[in-house]
Amino acid sequence: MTGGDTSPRSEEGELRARSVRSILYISPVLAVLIGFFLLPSSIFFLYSFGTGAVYRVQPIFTLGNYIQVLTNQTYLRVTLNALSIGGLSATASILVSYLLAYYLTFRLKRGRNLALFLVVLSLLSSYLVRVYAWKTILGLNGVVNSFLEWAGVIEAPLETLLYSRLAVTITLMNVFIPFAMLPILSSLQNIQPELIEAAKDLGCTPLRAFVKVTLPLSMTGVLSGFMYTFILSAGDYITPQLVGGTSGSMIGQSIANQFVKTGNWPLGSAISFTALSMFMAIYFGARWAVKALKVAPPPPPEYSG
Amino acid sequence: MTGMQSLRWPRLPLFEIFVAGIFLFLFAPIIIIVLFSFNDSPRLSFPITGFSIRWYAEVLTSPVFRTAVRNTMIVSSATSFIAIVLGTLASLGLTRHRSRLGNAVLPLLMLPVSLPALFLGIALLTYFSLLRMQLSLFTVTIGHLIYTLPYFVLVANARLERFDTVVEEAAQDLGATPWQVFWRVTLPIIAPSIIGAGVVVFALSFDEFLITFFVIGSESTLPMLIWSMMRRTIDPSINAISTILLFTSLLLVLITSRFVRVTEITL
Repeated sequence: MTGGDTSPRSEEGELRARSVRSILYISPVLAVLIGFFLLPSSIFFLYSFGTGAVYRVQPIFTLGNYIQVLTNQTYLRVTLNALSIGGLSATASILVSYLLAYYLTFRLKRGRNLALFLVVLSLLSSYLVRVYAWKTILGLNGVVNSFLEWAGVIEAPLETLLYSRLAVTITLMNVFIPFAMLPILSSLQNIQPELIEAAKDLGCTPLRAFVKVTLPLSMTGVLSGFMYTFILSAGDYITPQLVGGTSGSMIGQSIANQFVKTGNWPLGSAISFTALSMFMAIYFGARWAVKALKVAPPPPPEYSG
Repeated sequence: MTGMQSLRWPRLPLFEIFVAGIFLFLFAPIIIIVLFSFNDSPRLSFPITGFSIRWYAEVLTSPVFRTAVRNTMIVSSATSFIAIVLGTLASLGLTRHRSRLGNAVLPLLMLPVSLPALFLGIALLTYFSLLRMQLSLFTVTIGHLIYTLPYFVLVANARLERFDTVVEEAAQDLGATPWQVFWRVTLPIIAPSIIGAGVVVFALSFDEFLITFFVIGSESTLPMLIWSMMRRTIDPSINAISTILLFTSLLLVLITSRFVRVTEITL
């Protein structure tokens, strides 16, 4: 910019300058994302078609890794385990979170900020510590068993508490309820209360107003919450390892083993992408089902004021 | 109708009981860990025998713990610093001007947090090995940066989208250079949300375990220390370290809530 230039820049030129500046501002983050996320992920994907050597990959194309994954009973079992435990934890987390978010949005007047603070505090409290805590809570000499024994409810400790699918589900719910709750909360808070009032004025019962107005308008949040909780819990690595035992073992362990223990990277990569595509398929299936059931949000109405 | 209602049983506040139960469920593990960190006995079972701070004394004098704290502080500070610089620029670029590139970058930016952390950790591990990059706190910082940037941009964008550019134009009309406009108008206005978002990044990095596990090599951080202790024996000083970690998270969330609405970290 020259000091003496007083002529107004043309609108188009101004727009172009802003566009250039915007690209300039975004480019450092974009470079980091390309260099340390897109590129590593793409190479990781290519590895699934490579031939394994110990802790290395030979660039010889093969589909053998995928065939091995799809025909191996163990991988099939742990993948199904991941899908069912992940699906169950995500669905249960969503149900619980919805009620919680609904209460915080429409019922709670005083103390809402404190409640939100607590939810975020729980979200940001060390995940590893909480998983470890559940191990001590559910263990053979753990809090639940020793408390029940001390109180005289049971005589011998319950062995089935820890190292079970139930233990994994409880722990995953504990970790992911805050994750699931925040997007639902945000979509509930965006609903204009007048819309619900209008439905009631037009003769809807509160339940019908909920089903016809509130639920469809909050479905974006529900789907987003479901996506994160389902994919993150189905792909969890620490929880099944600490509280899952053999019945609760999930696909994350099989993947990590290929990198940490056996060093068969192409197989590990093939397991990862097979599992990931199954997770995606389930998520898109759920999204499609929601749309098919016609509870999906209607096209956003245009508000003039 | 009113007569009918007075005949009914007093309604139990079921919804309230349910919500209280959920909060109890969310905080049960945290409460248990904090309680046991002050337990006199090394056994992790009821009844709690007595109050003691011996596990804290043990932890605070341990050189392994000090190294882990130092490394964790290095990684979290470096991650927050880089995230603040790069993230603020990106947020300005994303909110000031809707470009096609911007519309494409936002979903890409969110992708790392919608995948299991295991995936990112392993993809980075194989990548660093391909590049023959030595695993160190530096590679950990890169991993944390990819994982925390989405949260930074979410929180920063929430405020920047409400930013009224009229004040900038006013400053410009009054003769300020672009540089002056940024330092004296834009930055003071967006500073609170940048600090808030930066603290969120610090909190996330401070606790991050899974990506760290794969790309740290032989170094240690606090979560890594807890992990290695968990696998050895039931060592009650884990509870003390965990409590220190949880307390730090509490402090960080408190600081965050001074600057931004905490719910802005919604994915």
